[in-house]
Amino acid sequence: MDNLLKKLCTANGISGDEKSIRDIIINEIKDYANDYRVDNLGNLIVYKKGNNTPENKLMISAHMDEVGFLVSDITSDGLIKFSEVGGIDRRVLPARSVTINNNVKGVICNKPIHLCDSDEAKSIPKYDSMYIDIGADSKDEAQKYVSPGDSITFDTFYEDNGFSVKSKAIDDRAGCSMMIKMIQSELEYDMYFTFVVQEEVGLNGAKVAAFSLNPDYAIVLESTTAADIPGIEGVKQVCNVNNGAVIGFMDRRTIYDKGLIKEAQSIAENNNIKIQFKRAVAGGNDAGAIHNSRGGVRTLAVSLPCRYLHSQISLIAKSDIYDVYNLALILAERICGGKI
Amino acid sequence: MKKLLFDLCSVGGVSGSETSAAEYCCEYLKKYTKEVRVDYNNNVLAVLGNDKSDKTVLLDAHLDRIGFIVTEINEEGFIKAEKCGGIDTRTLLDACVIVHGNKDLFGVVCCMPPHLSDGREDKAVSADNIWIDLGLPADKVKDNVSPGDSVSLYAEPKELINSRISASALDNRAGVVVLLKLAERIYKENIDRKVCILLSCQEETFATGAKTVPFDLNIDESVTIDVSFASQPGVTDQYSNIKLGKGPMLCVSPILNRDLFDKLRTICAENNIDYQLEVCSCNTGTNGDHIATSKSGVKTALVSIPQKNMHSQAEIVDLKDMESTVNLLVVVICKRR
Repeated sequence: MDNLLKKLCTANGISGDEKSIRDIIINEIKDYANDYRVDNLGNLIVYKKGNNTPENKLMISAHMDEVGFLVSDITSDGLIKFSEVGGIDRRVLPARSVTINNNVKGVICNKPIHLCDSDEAKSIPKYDSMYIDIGADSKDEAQKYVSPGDSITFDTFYEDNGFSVKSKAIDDRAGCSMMIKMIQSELEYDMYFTFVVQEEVGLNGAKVAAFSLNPDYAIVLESTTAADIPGIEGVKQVCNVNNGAVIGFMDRRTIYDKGLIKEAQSIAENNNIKIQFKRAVAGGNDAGAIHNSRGGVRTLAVSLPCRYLHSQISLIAKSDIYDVYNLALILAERICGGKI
Repeated sequence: MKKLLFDLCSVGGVSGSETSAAEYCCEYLKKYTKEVRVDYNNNVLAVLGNDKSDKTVLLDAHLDRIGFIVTEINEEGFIKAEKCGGIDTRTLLDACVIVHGNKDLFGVVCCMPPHLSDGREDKAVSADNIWIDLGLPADKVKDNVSPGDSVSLYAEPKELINSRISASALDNRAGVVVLLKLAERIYKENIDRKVCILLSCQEETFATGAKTVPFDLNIDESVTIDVSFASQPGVTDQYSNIKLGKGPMLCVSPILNRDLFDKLRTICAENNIDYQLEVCSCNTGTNGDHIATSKSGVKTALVSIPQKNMHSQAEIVDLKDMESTVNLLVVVICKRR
């Protein structure tokens, strides 16, 4: 799974432009899936037969998109104006490296500190005074490489130090990599897997995928906000890296199914899987669109605690990946087997 | 030149911890002179030209880069760091860093995700609240990192269009590369003077290299090579006219020598080397100030490579400006007087 995660995280696919991620996933699953299709929004919907016919129809879902930017304009000096896609805190932007259109390198400008007055030196610029420099000196020159509407992603390294992984886009390529691994393995029951688009801009992919599939149950594999860093105490940390799979009772989109929470807890106890409960009502994920689909879908998000979400580099512990994977897979089998 | 620049931007060498950069440069200079040494402060000094001459010219570029120094490691293995040089706090949250411990380790500067924002998106982090996450258990961190270790900002060096290079530490590895390339260009030439190339330590903190090394040399003339500001959004006044790719900046300042400035300007004109003017009405804020007032005074000039986004991970220079600077210095050194 290590190589798979690296391949997925280092590829670029902001919301609405997930094709390169989808192509990697199709290539990985095509020899293992019994059926797959791409819907009108770009969701990849995969069907995999298991050893048994399930009692309940289950949808397992993760989103392919990452946060980033769109080129909005090019100035007469050849600088690129940009707008955010998904929620990004401006404090992580000055002087960052980016890739436009998968191939043009650029950096976000930062006025030299030496030339700033004391207020300016402590202030993060607004979007209207942020620019990307690709080295062009004029609009004509920049237009040879970049057009308004082009996708922009963070450009950073991927590092696996044996204990943790640092990369952009772990949210939610980690979820995608776990689903690929499930599809590549022998399953107890027939299951549906949805690799969805546009989570970061309003859960759009999950909404239509859940409608199409019409499942009884859903498991969402996500990467969630861990804030267990110095200076942040107690419940404000939300969850902790290296403390296992994260289960929430409620976030800003969903109140989770109590039966599934209880089941997850007992699976963890019986199988030596580490889990932790989210200690704050924060964030939100595709469960918000799925649990309200049609006449309702019993839904649980099983999440990977992830620091520094929505930035050039986020961080997860490798041990948590296995806890999330194992918990989700056993839960899936229990749901399909009608044991809940 | 590009590979050399990328390599040098990728070694550490934060102010006061320049060992790795000094060793790299020393090895490089050994190809062109036998007389090269690194002193206890990590200053690199190479002597070329006529070492019997009683006339000495000094060429100086500072070797250090801005960064941090580790002050504490907490129970969870997070590393507290304080700034070492003029760090720009606006660029720090979620910054990639390299902690130079027993080995180089990748880290991230801790920050909160937007989902849990305190709503203070307009404010940069305070410099006294910088914590670094290596993503390793505390015992592993403590095995490899100690208070006093240096930390550098990391951005993979990259080529933009128009021969522009972006990297962390182009201030002043661009100047260092110019002097390394100069050594390569002049070592076979018949030069009448003694030429000292100094890659000096601690410019970004206490100018220790520029203050101490020239004291032991009898210098007649000196040129400092550094970077200076080019036009970019928000930059006004004289620097709004400085463009990347239009040649090195020659500085006029009360502390610098006017005759030497005129000589450089004439050489540029006679050799079709583009140059731009920089005017500092007081001191220059570079090593040039210290060298000019060394001992009983040294005739000093300042030549700067235009740069955008100074003191950030996104510094940008143009390779053409670096090449022009080398060309200018070759004439300065090799021209018979």
